[in-house]
Amino acid sequence: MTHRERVLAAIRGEATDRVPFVPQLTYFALEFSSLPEKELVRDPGAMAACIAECGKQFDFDALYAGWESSFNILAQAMGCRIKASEDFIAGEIEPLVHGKEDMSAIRVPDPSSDGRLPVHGELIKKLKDIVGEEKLLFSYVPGPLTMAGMLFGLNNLMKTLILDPDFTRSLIERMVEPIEVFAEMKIKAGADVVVIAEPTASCSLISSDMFKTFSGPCLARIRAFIEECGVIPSLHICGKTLPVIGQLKDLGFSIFEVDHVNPLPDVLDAADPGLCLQGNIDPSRLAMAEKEEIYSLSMTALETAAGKHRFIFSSGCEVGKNTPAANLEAMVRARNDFSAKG
Amino acid sequence: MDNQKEILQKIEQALIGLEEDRVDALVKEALDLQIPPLAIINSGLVEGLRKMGAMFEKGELFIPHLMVAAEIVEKNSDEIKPLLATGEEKENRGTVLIGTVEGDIHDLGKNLVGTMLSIGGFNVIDLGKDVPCEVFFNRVESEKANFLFLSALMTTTMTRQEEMIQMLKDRNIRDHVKIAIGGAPVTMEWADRIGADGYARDAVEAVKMAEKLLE
Repeated sequence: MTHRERVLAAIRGEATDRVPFVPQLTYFALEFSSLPEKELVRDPGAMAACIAECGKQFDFDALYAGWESSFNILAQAMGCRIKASEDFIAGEIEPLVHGKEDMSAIRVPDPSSDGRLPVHGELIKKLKDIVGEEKLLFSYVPGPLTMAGMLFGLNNLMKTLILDPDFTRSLIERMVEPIEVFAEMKIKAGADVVVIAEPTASCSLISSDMFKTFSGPCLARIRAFIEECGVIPSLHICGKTLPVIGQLKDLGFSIFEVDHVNPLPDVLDAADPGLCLQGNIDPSRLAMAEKEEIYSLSMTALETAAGKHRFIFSSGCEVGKNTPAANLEAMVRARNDFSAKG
Repeated sequence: MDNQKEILQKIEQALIGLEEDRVDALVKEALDLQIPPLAIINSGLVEGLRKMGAMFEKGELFIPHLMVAAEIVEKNSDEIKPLLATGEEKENRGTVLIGTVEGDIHDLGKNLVGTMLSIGGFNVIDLGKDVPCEVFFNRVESEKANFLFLSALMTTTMTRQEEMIQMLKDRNIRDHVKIAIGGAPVTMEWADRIGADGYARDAVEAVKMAEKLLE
């Protein structure tokens, strides 16, 4: 099987020759470029090259085509001022909306010209040029609840979920069109899987009822849009998500990225069989633990999920820049050893 | 006495129900009845928030509930404080410096921890986010801080927590301040590894941990 066939088979619930390995990884690929960070992050071709090279070295079955936080670049393109770090990974957004009176300031961005959106489109195109049809390209867009938090301030959003639900709902709905525009740009550039990243919907922060009311409806709309564009929709929520996994069937996603805090056996029980689960090795352990522990964690995850549910072996969230290469290798080794057992 | 207990319980319940107007009215009623202001704060407002913390730990309440409640408590406490008799001021249980480490701009958890500690009787100085180690160090010295709470939400920035502890050791003031760490990727194991004095998983645990470090 090719890498592409392997991942598509897993998503569809078909047999694979081995478990697909697709860690959620972008910044880590920096190690595979000789350019200084400041230059690299301004050069989509160079970024694409190091992402591709990293994927080749570790034999990833698909690649994440992205760099800095998708939240920041969309917020900037929508009119927010941003104090970006040199590597464009961390960046402080100045909220644009302070109340209902500011809603008119929210812009639907032009992905061909606004902020760093064009760089991201170019990155995907360049990566597609390198890998062609060999590997699927996954790429993130922010979720609507999370974007509302970027534009309004997350602390404010948390309070208005309770104090002014009507305003909050209307603000979240205003996020749909800009997110769809961003997704469409990425799809036209070559993204095969669009991952909606919605960390603010984590049950580490909000209740499952709040998720259903505030995040769910707009997630479903964006998911439908992505499918209408002909590509695969995926959902990522950091942290605790077990309480909402049952809702995901109605939302219609093909893939769900599961973080490490959710025990895989419980996730398997709660998830619809048609949902492909992707995860869930703890990125903190990946960064700090010895390779033997990572191998052991990986084997446990594989033994729990592979062959029992649609499954892509991965990290639970973004792999940190400071992760030792030996630990990623341990994940690969575990996947290969598990798959060899048959 | 029964009247006092009844009104303080009503304040608690109104707070748990996030009924801000009712809390405000009951606090006013309590003051009119000459219930001691410190009792209104401690046994009404703070007690209600403490119960909400327990409900949060059980998964019955979530971050938005705590944030709204904390704001109601802070507002009412600030209004009551000028009425406290001399010598009756809420005890200062220690000075806490809190901030998100350099390179990290997440602050939701850090803000809630700061608010809960302040309500819990600590003098909290919030240094904000993306705070360099040198700034933390300078303020530990100038404020004679008893506690330093360091928040990090990314695996790449949690290393700053280790750097901060090392800086304090190198400059021979490590034992002048208790260091607590928190944030999504942070664990007790990490805290032990880097020599922190405490680790808190959330804002409710942070207050309990600070109280434990006081002992």
